[in-house]
This record gives sequence, structure tokens and C-alpha cells, in this order.
Amino acid sequence: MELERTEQSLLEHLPAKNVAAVSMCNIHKSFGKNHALRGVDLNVMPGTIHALLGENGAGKSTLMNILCGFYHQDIGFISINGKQVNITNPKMAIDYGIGMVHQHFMLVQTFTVAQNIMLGSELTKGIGVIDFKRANREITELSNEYRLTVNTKKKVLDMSVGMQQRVEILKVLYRGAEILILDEPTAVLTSQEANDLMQIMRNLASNNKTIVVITHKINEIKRVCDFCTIIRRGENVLTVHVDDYNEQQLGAMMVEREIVSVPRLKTTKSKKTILEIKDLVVKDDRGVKKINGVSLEVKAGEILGVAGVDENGQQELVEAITCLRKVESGTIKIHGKEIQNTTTKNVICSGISAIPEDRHRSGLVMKFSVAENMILKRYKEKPFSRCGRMNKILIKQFADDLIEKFDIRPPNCAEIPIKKLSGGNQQKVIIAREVSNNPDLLVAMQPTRGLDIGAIEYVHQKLWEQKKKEKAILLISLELNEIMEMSDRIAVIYNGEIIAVVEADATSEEEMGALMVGGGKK
Amino acid sequence: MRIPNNIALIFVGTLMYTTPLLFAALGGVISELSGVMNIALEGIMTVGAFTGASVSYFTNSAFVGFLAAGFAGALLILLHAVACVTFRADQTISGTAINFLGGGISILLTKKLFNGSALSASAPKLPSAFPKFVSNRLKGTDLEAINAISIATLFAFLLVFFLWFFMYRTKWGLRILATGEHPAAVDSLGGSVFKIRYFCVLCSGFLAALGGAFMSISVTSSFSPVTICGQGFIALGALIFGKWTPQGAMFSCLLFGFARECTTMLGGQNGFVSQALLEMLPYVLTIAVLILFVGRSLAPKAVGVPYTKDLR
Amino acid sequence: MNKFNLKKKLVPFFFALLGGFFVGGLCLICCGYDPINSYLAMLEGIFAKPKYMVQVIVKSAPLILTGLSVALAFKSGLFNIGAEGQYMVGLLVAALMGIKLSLPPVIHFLALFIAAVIAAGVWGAVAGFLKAKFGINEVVISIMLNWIAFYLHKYIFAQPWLLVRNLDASLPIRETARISIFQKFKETAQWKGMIAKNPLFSDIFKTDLNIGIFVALLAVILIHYFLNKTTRGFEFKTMGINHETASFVGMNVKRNTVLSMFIAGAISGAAGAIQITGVSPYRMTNLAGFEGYGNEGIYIALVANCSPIGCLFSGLFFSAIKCGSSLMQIKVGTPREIIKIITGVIIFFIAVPFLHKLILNYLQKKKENKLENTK
Repeated sequence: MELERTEQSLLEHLPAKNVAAVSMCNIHKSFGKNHALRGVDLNVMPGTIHALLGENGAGKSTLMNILCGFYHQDIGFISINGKQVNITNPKMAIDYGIGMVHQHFMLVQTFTVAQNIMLGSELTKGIGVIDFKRANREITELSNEYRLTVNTKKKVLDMSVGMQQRVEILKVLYRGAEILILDEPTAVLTSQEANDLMQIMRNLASNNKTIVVITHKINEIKRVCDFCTIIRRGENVLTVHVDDYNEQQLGAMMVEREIVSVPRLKTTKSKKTILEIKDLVVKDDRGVKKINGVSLEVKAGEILGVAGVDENGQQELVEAITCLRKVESGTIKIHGKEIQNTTTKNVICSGISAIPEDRHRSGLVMKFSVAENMILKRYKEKPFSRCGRMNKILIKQFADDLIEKFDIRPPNCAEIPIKKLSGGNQQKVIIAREVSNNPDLLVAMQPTRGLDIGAIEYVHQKLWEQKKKEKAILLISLELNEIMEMSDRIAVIYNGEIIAVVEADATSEEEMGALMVGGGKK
Repeated sequence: MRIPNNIALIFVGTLMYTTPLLFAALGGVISELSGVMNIALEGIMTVGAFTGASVSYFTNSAFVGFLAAGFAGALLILLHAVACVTFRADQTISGTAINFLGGGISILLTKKLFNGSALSASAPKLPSAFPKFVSNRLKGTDLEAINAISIATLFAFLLVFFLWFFMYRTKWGLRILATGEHPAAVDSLGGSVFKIRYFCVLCSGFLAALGGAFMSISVTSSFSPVTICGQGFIALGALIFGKWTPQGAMFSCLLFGFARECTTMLGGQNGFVSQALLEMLPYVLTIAVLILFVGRSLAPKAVGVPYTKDLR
Repeated sequence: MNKFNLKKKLVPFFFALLGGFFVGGLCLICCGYDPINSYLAMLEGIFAKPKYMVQVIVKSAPLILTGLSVALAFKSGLFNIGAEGQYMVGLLVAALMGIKLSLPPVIHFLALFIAAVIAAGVWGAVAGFLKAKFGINEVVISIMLNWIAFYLHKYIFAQPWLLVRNLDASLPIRETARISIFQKFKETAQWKGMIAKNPLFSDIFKTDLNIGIFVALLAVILIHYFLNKTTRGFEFKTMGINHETASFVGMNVKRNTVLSMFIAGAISGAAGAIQITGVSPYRMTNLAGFEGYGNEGIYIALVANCSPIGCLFSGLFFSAIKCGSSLMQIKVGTPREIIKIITGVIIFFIAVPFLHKLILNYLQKKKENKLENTK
């Protein structure tokens, strides 16, 4: 039934003679027991920008990876320009004129722009010898044609993220793609870069390219897209003309319920400083200064948000606070006591807890049980161990307590390996661990990354609870919305420097956006 | 005064000991640049040494033995390729398994072929790198010693140049380098990570076995269980020291070759330093070199990481 | 639940063993040997006489120890391919102290044992230190250390104050340092009477029965306890699975890396010490190549899935086929190197995690096809 509605709403807006550039019909795909796609349809008209809207894990990326030949669908068929095709590998997809710009760039960091762009379809003279001169020339011509200027001889690792994305788009165009798929293209961009990108997309569409954008950012859809297909839990809900709906309606269709924004908790003005950072300088592994003279203060009962675009020193800041990275100069004080360049152990004992950015990489031990993960920071404390001998019974009791208190599902999971829990529940385990030893300062780096909406709300609630208990919280996030919603004050980090600290009530998204790209220095 | 002669002797000796290491290190470079760690070099060299010695003994042709060794090495390392590329096995453990297998098969077959002896009969040598008229000219001069430079040594050094050109100037090289750095990128552009890695690992086995064969044919002129004695691992150290480039591997192999030549020169003549202590030198040198340089060299990003299409 | 888990863990290893012997058999056929007779001779070499069985147990002690050493390192995320060198250092120190020192019995052994264990531990810790400090791959370093230990052995062995020229062996270690059981007893008149009465006893006492196996058992229990019950063991395991998490929660990964390699080295050193003090001729011999106890530790640990208790059984198993292969070589003429191939294949099967599943699935399908066909 819904399918009929989809078709109708599409047809209303289109002249009948047009044949869909891409038509995917009744696509099913499962990974083991996980049924990722269950009968999705998608029709994309040529020369339009078509959005695929859905929450994390709804199946958007899987659908597009099928179109690109990365996966093969279990059931269903695909037509390109009205002709049914069977795409079994990426090479075929390229031959059909389909090109994808992945969310995580497929660029070889040590290669130059030209090497990256021609990889796989190199210009050669003689037997296999690459003609670098001709390649550089042709790529420069191509980039001028679409107004995507790049320096072809520059290495990718020396380029900004926005420029890298240009290279990705050029790579696709170089292969003669008519249908471009962009996977979460603005996730890593500054707002200026995002604006540029939308201009580029418009440009391409007017050059009669067809574009599919995977996204969950509704305001961008409203700004640039013609059509929008909404996918929910592996099934498509609806395809609509973007102009017919407002942002709230689209959002509601995406999450199946109204989005209500919770009013921020008012801060009680407190004077007690918990964390004080002064003139901090930190270098990364390659010896490049990533934090350059940062000073910050976090007070009790306050959430200080650190806003900024990725790779501007956030990672290094957190690593310096937790003593995982050497501090070149400057001080980090907690309760007035210097802690920089000591040990992580000392940091923890001083009352600092941290929620890591990547819970799989540095927060959890996936092969351990939930209880073992819960005790990771306190296994040396009495009564959990005495004279170097661990008390498994007490540890299990401790874990059972936390599982109940933090509503971790499934219940009684203390002895289950943590990898069997869902992502949201794994994050709950980390939060339970980090909060349960009653820290004075909680450093939360991207605490909601990759979680669904319910889990995000849960995390936010827990942060507020900490705030109510007069704890200090340093929240670092790439999501401006999250920062705006949660923080009392916001520090903007750009290129390793804090370029502004503003009261959250007294700022706007526009102002923040400008600050985050280094503009409007106050 | 026989100084020119001595220098020529050291020069020849250094090249002789460099050659097997260089073959193996170049093999290692190819495999690791494509993203497959190759700890199996030792086992492959052993099999190469055995095949080289025995085939050239039975066919009475060093060339046939040399080539046969390459193919035997490729055959054995195929197992490593299957495990690491197709089955995404732990590359260290798989390499260790190959090392055991290589040693076992070689000794088993030596005993079978040479009446229960673990030492093969002596094999014919590979010819000199110099054509007749040059070597005749050299005869009787102070530089006569350099006639002993083998044609395989020449081949190994030519190979360095060829590999450099292949890796950094041709489209296939570009794809191999990309596979080692970012396999998903190659996959998304329609290249086959599997085929590239299989090709590279097989080449690596072929070359490493040539190194082993050179050792048994031209250096010790027979195969015994101690012919290779850790040279596969020294080659591994050399390629790390050489920063994963063919030319770098060449220079570090020359260094190790020279160290080994010093061992023989100093120990053999007057013996004022114990032979056993001198023989430690290449190994101590490897450790020293690693301590001094490992921090600054950059391995291909995807080395040791099995590639799977599953992006989730 | 527990039983099920154990079964799930055992099946792949069972398959690996089966695969090893199967491929080994194919190799034998290719080389013109009779695999069935060879394997039968091997079995005979293990079980035919009580003497053989005792021999298996005696020879298993150093293997269990080196296996344990590799397993402990694996558990903490390190590949201790240097067990061979650590074993040699332990043996060297024990031999020197056994020959040069003169102390009362028991104390003599304890002194040299502790010295050997510490020396080998330091030898192992070098690789751990270089890994922690400079980030150098411990595998390459360990192998270089193996060869250095090998030539160190050669160097010391060649010293004139140690060498007995006409024997091509060193002086024997003093009797006070030996750990053989019933050594004195064998020379009494009572003993000679017993031989006459009971050939079974005489058979067993002809072997190098020593207390090494008890040392190995003790080590197994200690390491098992250490890994499963102590906080340090917990740190090792955490670091072994995810060292980034370990440092994130405040564990000192670098110190633990050195410590883990020290303990691993110490255990291998213990193997060397009990080998020279427990097995005749109680002398250092001129080595042509590695003795292989350390390298064998690698596959013992792998087959045991790095569990200390597992090392006990896999050590016994490999000791058995090693002992059996000697008789096989003598009786049927099959070269004993075949066990190297068998173990290589076994490791290969273990390295490829789901090979056994593929084979099982294939067999299942074939079975189903057959059933359908018969219908």
C-alpha cells in the first residue's frame, strides 16, 4: 500500500516520459541473522538531487553499497536508465556510470591527488608506465570544468578534509560517472565547506548529473535536495518531494515520533574551579603542534562544551588531560594540583573520569565479560582485590548493582561477554564505570557517537545527573546541536587554539558555525 | 703489498653475503608493500636452499636448480597467501607455521634424496657475472678475485632498479602501494585486493627462495639444516631498516653483508677474536640498527591487517 | 554451558591434530614411506614399554615450561618467539654454576635454578624493553637474541677451562646440583637385587627420571592462578586483548610488557636449568643448531590455546610424538623430521580460524547429498 503512495507522489512531480536514472526494486539484504534491508524501493530521476534520509543503522549505506557493487542484494533487481542490470563488483558499477563518495574517504594518504584520482584507471605510455605529465594536465582540466580547483601534485595527507572530499568527487567524475552517491558528505565538514559542497552539488546537477545523498541532516535536505526517500529499519517509508514538507514533518517521519527538545538545566552560579588548563602545548606523533597555548577552566556543576571541526586538536586535548600524551609546556590542574605528564593512574586517582571517543578501541575489552569491563578501573581497590588477589564474587555483585542502576540490558548480563550487548548498552557500561567511582571531573569525548536516539537521550540524562551533583563536565563533540543543547558555556577550538568562550544562551548556531572555521575571532 | 687484492676480496665477499639477503628482503618488500606481513621468509629461504642444491645436483645445472627453487618457494608461500588473504588468518602465526613446514620438508627430502644424510651433495656453481673476455683480461691481475662475483648477484642488483621502477612508475606498482596503504580504496575502484595480494605474496616467495638457492648453490655449495640460520629474519630487519623500499633494502643488505664478510675475514685469518663472538655481529648489528632507526621508518598502513569487504 | 564451551574450544584443535597427521601421511606417501607403519611405530615408541612412557613424561617437562612461557606472553599480547634463546641462557647459567660452584645438595640446585631463571628472565625482558621503549617488533628482536644466545653458548663452550676435548663436551655438572631421582639408589646392592627380581622397575629406572616434571606442574598451577586470580594477571590479559583500553584505564602497559617478557623468559630459563641438571650426561654439548625446545614451545602454546592447563596436555602430546618418532626412525626408517611437517600443518590449521568449520560444512553437505541420492 505504501509502495503505491510512493509511486504516485513521485509521478505527480515528473513528466511521464522521464525514465528513472536509478531504479532499485524490492531490495533485500541480510548479514547473518541481521536483516538489514527488507524490500526497499528507490527511484531516482536523472538530473535531480535525491536524499536518502534515515537514522543510524536504518540501512541507507547498505543500500548504496549494493548499488556500487560492494555487496550483492539477496533479492530484488536494479535498473540503470531503464535497463535492468546485475552489478556484481565495483568495477561494473563504475562502468554503468555509478560513483560513490564514501563517508570515510577512500584516499591513500601518502599518494598525491593525481595518483589518487587515476588509481585503477591510469594514463599510461608504453607498457604500464604511468604518464604523470598527461595525468596532471587532464585532471587539472577536469577540475576547472566543474570548478573544483585542486593542486594535483599535493599529497592528500597535507590537505584539509574539505579538499580531500573534492578529490573524492573528482575521482568519481574522472571515471565518467553520471550518477554520484554521497555518503554523509557534510559529517566531517565545517559549515563553510558544507556550503561550498552544496554549491558544487547544485552545479553538478545542472550539468545533468544525478546525485543521491545519504544523510540525516534535515536542514541540508531542505536546502539542496529535490526528492527525499525515508528509510526506517530497513524498509522504505515514503518518497516525497522535499518542497511539500517542512523540517519537523520530515524529522517525524524519520524517527517515527515527534522530536521534542528538552529545555536546558539552569546552572547555579558556582565559583569553585575543578579543572584549570593554562597555556597548554601538545604535539602529535609526527611532532606537529596540535594544541597551541590552550587555556580553559571548568567549574563545579557546569558543562563546558568544546565545539570544533574534527582534527582541530580535540583528541590531543583529551589525551593530554588523561596523561596518554606528553605535554610540551603549560599546566593542567585539578583542584589546584598539577597533573600533566604524570600517569593515567594518577589522573584517575585525582578524580578524573573519561568517556572515550571510540569505545571499541579504547574503552572496552570486547572479549571480557560485562563485570570485568565494569571493574577495569577499580580492580586494585579493596575489597575487589586484596594482596593482589581478585575477589570475583564481590566484583560480580558490584557489576549486578550497576547493571540494575544503569538499566543495562539484558538484565543479569554480568557474566556475558560485552561484545554481545548492543552499542547503546555497551556505552551504558562505560558510563556506569566512569561515573560510579564518583569523579569530580568527567571528560566526555563524543559520548553519543554512533548511538540511536534513545541511547543519546540516555547519555544526555546521565550527564545532567552529574551536573546536578555539582560535578564538572568537559563535553567534546563534533555535533554542534549536542554542544548547544547540553553546555552552559562553549569553548570553540580551532587549529589547536581556543578562539572564543561564549555563554551558550548568548550565541546562535550561525555564530558558532563562523567561529568553528576560524572566522569572527572575538 | 696486496692491498688491491684484499679490497677486491672484501668487496666480493660482501656482495656474496649480500645477495641472498637482498633477494629475500626484496621479496619481503613486495609482500609487505601490498599489506601482507611476511615472517615466513626464513622457511621459504630454507626450501629454496634445499631445492636449489638438490635440483642443480641432479640436473647438473645450476640455472635449472636456481629457477626450480623459485617455483618451490612460490608453491610453499601459496599456503601463506591462502591463509592470510583468503582466510584472513593471523599473519604472524601463519608465517611461523610456514617456517616450521619449510624446515621440515627440506630436511625430510634431503634425507630421502641423499641416503639419510642431512647434508646434500655439493652442487655446481652459478657462473660469473663477467663474460669470458673480461674475466680472461682480469686473470693474473690484483683484481682477479672479482671474477667470483656471480651472475645472480648482478641479477639481484638489477632487480632492485627494476622493482623501484615497477613500484613507483607503473600502474601496477601504484595499485600495489595503494593496496598496502588503503585496500578499501582499491576495492572501491574496481581493483581486486585479493589478486594483487596473491600476486605479491607469490612473487615474494619466489624471490626469497632464490635467495635461499643462491646461499646453497653459490655460497656453501650444499644444503644442510643450518644453511639459512636466521637470514630470513635478518632480511626482515633489513627491509624495516630500509623503510620498505627496494633501494633502502639494498643499502641495509649491503651493510649486513659487509658485517658478515668482516666476520669471516677477521675470524678466519688470525683468530685473535673468537669466531663465535664474531658470528654474533650481524645479529647484534640488526638489533642496534632497529633501535636507532625503527622509530623513523613508516610501514605501509595496512600491513598485518587482513582485508575484508565488510565495511560494518 | 561450560561443557558446551569446552567442546566448542576443543573441536578446532582436534581438527588441527587430525589435519596435521593426515597431511603428514600424504607427505610420507609422496616420499615413498609407509605412513600407516610409520604411525604405528610411533605409537609403539610411546606406549609399548613403561620405559617409553616414563621417557615421554621426563621429556615433556621442558616442553611444558617453554609452552607455558610462550602462552603467558601470548596472553599479554606478545609473541615470545625468543623462548629458544631464553632456554639456552638458562641452560648456560645453570651449567656454569653447576660446574664451578660447590655447595651442599638441594641448596646448590636451588641457587643455580634461581640464577638461571633470573638470567633468562632478563634475556627475555630485553625484547620486552625494546618493544616498550622503542616500539620495535618483539619477534625480530627475539630471533636475533636467539642467535646471539646460540653463539654465546658456542663461545663459552669453547673456553678451555670448560671443555673436555676428547669428548667434545663440557665438564659435567656436580652431583650436588643434579635433580635425578634414585641416582644414588641405583648404585646400591639392594638395587641390583631388585633388577634381578623385577625387570619393570629396572626398565623405568634406566630413564632420566627427575623432578623436572614437578617443576613444570608447579609452574602450570602458578601461572594458571596468576592469570585467573591476580590483579597483575588481569592486567596482562587486558593488555593482551586491547592495549589501548589498558592504558586508558590507567594500567602501565610498558612496565607490564617488560614484566611479561621477564616472566616468560624466566619460565623458559627454568626449562633449560632442569634439562641440564636432570638429563644425563649432565654436560653441555657442541651444538650444531638450536635444540628446538623453545621453538616447540610456540606450537605447544598455540595448540593449548594459550591456557596453562592446556599447555600441560599439549606438552605431553608433543613430547609423546617426539619420543615416538625416534623409534619410528630406527624401526621403519622414516625420517623424524616428519613431525616438523605435522606440527607446521597443525599450526597452519590453528592460524586459519574457520578452516575446520569449512571442512565440517563440506562434509555435512556431502552427507546430505548422499542421503538425497539414496532417497
